[in-house]
Amino acid sequence: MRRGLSSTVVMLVFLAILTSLVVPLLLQLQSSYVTRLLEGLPEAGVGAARLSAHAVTGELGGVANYSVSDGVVENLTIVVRNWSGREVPVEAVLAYVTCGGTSRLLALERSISLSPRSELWRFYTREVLSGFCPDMISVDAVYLLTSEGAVVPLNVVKPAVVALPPPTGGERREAGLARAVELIPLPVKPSDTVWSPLSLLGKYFTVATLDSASNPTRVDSSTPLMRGSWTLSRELSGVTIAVENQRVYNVWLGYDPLNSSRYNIMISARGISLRFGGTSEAPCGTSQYVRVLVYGFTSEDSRGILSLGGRWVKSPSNNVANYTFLDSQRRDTLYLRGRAERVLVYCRAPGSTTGYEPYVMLLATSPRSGAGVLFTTIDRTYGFYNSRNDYTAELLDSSLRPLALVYRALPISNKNYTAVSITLNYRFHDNEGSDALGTSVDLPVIFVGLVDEFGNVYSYRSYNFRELTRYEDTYPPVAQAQSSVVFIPLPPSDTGERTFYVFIAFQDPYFYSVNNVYLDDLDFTLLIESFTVILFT
Amino acid sequence: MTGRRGQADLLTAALLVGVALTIGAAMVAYFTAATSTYREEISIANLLAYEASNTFINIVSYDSRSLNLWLVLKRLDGGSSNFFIAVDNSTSYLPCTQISYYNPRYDEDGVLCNSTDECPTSATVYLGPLSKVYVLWEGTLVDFLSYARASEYPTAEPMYVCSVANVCQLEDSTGLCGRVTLVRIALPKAVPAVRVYLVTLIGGSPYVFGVYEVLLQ
Repeated sequence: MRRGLSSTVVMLVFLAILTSLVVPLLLQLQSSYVTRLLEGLPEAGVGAARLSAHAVTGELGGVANYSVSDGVVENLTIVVRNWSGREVPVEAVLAYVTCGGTSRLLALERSISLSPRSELWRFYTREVLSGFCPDMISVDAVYLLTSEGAVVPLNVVKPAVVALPPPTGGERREAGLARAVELIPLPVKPSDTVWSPLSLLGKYFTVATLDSASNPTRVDSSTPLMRGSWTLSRELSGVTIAVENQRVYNVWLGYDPLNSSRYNIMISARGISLRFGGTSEAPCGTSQYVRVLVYGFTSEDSRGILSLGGRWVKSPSNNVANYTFLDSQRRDTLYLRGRAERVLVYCRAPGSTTGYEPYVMLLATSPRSGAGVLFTTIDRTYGFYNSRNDYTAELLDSSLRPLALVYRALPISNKNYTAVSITLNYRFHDNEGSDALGTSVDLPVIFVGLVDEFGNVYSYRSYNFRELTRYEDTYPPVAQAQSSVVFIPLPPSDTGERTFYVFIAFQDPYFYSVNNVYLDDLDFTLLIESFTVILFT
Repeated sequence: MTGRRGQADLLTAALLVGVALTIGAAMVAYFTAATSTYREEISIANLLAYEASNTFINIVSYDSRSLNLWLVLKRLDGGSSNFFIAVDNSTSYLPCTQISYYNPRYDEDGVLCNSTDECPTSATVYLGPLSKVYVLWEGTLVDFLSYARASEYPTAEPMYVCSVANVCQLEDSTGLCGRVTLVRIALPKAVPAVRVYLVTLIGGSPYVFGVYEVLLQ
């Protein structure tokens, strides 16, 4: 009996110890599970954008309005309204603008506060805006960023009519319901840097490239690029320059669009010796190929602008190829002496790519016209289908990415216009003596057309080499004037509003290939004299 | 005889008490370990929930020409700690060199990010496999690789987690931070969508607590 009792006591003690240890642990574990289940775990995938209660969209709003003059934003007005009954701290007023060819995000205002039921007015003049960027073409979007993180877009009112300055040479035609806007020749002002053609073009156009060199579908924001390497060796301004009977290969001569009593000259040569002021030098050495770009040249010699083989040139020829291939048959030497506003010397250098700067010059072919665009890849001479075209493979230049110019200051909406005609006047001259036979394939040189607001090509017309070469003579060099009209109907406005922009692109598509040794090695000169848009309402 | 029986009972009792204590100690050790793991998981879940409800992200704009995407980040609790983000461009995760943030202190001309001082590049705080990044999913912590597979997010290795400095740290402001941080993501090419993953670091390991998707086309 006692024995049974003691065993029971022992068992009770054992169970008491075990229970006192295990039960609290189990309860704690149970409560942990319950806590965790009641937590309501955050769904990680939903994201953190849960500030809708803090966002004040609807209570805040405003308008931005700007005007354009000479292709540049003249003034910008911003009105912001706070309809709410509380003060709204604003982190910044942000604006997306187009400066030259690039877009920039600006903080027009920072750390301001909007009083309850109030309006904030801000007016920015051209001087103030030029502090942000000198060549603001358009204001694309304006946002109000509150300190709470809400982003409120303002309604941007774009200029309804693009007020382009009257072109220097031509005139704007008003015929019936049509309106003509001349984009090239470029209007040029005394403050413009004519010697920096791409930045001056960027004042009116978005400088870009195309997604394809043969069949473009989009305008691409990448930098246009040439295959062939030049390095800028000298850049002088306000200098006296002399070329004293030097052998040169080509001269392209035109009027300075700023002042028709001055001239813009591009010279290609090898190891040329130049005299700047009193000192004579060979900026690229005695054997290197060189391109000399002379802007705003005034001759000191009363006999003419420059002399080629002893014959004085008194005014530029409208045949822009007239002074090319000087070394091929007559071995004419160049003499000139005078003052230049700016001289740039490019030396041929080892390397693979370069920008379009050494190949492009703005000049006028008549004393009254504005700036046309000259593009040339010719450096030395001409050849045939069975010989090298530019004398040596070293001088064969071509485009890696075409140079595309999109005129953003003229939005063409299908609500306002039904069709567009684009007219192009140009001159073309190549160094392929066999013309079309000197190529194995026909490739496009110029593209003209429309892109939509997203950069997609809506419609275009390409100008291929074999078409262009029909109207030129390689030697004696003649670049005949050619022209064309491209008519593009816009989609009907009841299919939805769309906005289009005019573009022009050009390139040298021909690059020497090993398989067809002397084919496809041509270089050429292209002068775009006029590029005009006619809008049909 | 009685004395011997008493001794035996005492021995049995001592033995049983010993066994009970051993089992008890083992149970204590096991349950302590188990509960601490659960507690750790709960505290991570709580932390992630806190971060998710206190981190705000919003799109400012996207420029299809320069391929720049601008976002704002803000802590709603007024903290000025840095933000950790990872960004995918629909196919892979962007390196931190593509992500920069606006420092208004060095902006003198009002043009955002036209110099490197006013737009420092984000720092890489994690560069490694997706499997070493964690995410709270369906009530448990799982590796991000499984989550990305299930959610059809990119699984291309590696993943970059980038540190974006809070604007209040750049401005040396005191008190609660009431400002927003502007972030610029430079996309290498045009893509249909960009996702921004909000990340926090716990014990040196990255945990994703939010996804923000921006459709660009």
